[in-house]
Amino acid sequence: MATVFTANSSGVLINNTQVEGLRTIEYQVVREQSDVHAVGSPERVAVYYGATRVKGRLHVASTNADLDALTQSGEAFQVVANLRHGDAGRSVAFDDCYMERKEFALNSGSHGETVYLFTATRVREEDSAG
Amino acid sequence: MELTLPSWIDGLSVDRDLRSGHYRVRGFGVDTTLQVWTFGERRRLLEACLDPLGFNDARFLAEFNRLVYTPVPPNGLQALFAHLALYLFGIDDRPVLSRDQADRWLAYELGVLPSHSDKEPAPELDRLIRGSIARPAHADTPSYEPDSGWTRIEVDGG
Repeated sequence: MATVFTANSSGVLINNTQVEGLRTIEYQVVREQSDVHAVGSPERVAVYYGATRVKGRLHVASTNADLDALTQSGEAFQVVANLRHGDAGRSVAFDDCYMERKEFALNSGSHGETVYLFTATRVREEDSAG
Repeated sequence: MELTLPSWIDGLSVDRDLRSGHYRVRGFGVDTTLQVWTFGERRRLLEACLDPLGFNDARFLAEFNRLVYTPVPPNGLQALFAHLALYLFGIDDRPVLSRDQADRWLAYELGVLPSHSDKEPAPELDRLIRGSIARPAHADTPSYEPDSGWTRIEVDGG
């Protein structure tokens, strides 16, 4: 099931800078898992975990020069989104991000949308007080 | 058999040949035929207009018009005619899936590989894809739900 949060544009920072034209951030965390079986039993007796991978997508109206530069340079960056729901808040931070590639989605009304795909070492989701 | 479509831009008239599917666009001193693009042409044009610095709007306008219009509208009217064609192809203010996402959706949902969609009319596939995907919570966001297992943060005022 997909989860949707909302954030104010001023609450989303990439390397501590607001990103012009940013519309959505999508991300997925996948943790590898394998079963451990015992001899003589068809049922697993335990599981063990492997690598955790974080993938993200930044949807930007038109294009963004700062994100293009990160795509070109291959430098690490950080994404922080501060989400608000009344007095409650939640912070989502992506650490050690690297651009993977970018795609273009056609939309004549807004002169196109660029999707920047990145990977992150970890994502931290924390509740914060209002 | 030609059918006149409702006027969308003052000064332009659009007729559609119901047999061939082509449009005839007249106005501003131009009399031209608009032919729908195929999914392969759409895919390759988007690829050709992506360069390391981003999407090349000027190249897209020029090459798109050269692809779909015969004869090609003059330089001063390129943007207007391209916008009209995109509107007639169903790509107006509604976001559509990116090139890769559209190919992935067609492959997973319909079992249609890129090589099989190559010669299909792009407006029909765009309409099919869009009609099968849920509408967004508000208009400024993409018209499709995040993939299963993905979380989306929608940015207000983005």
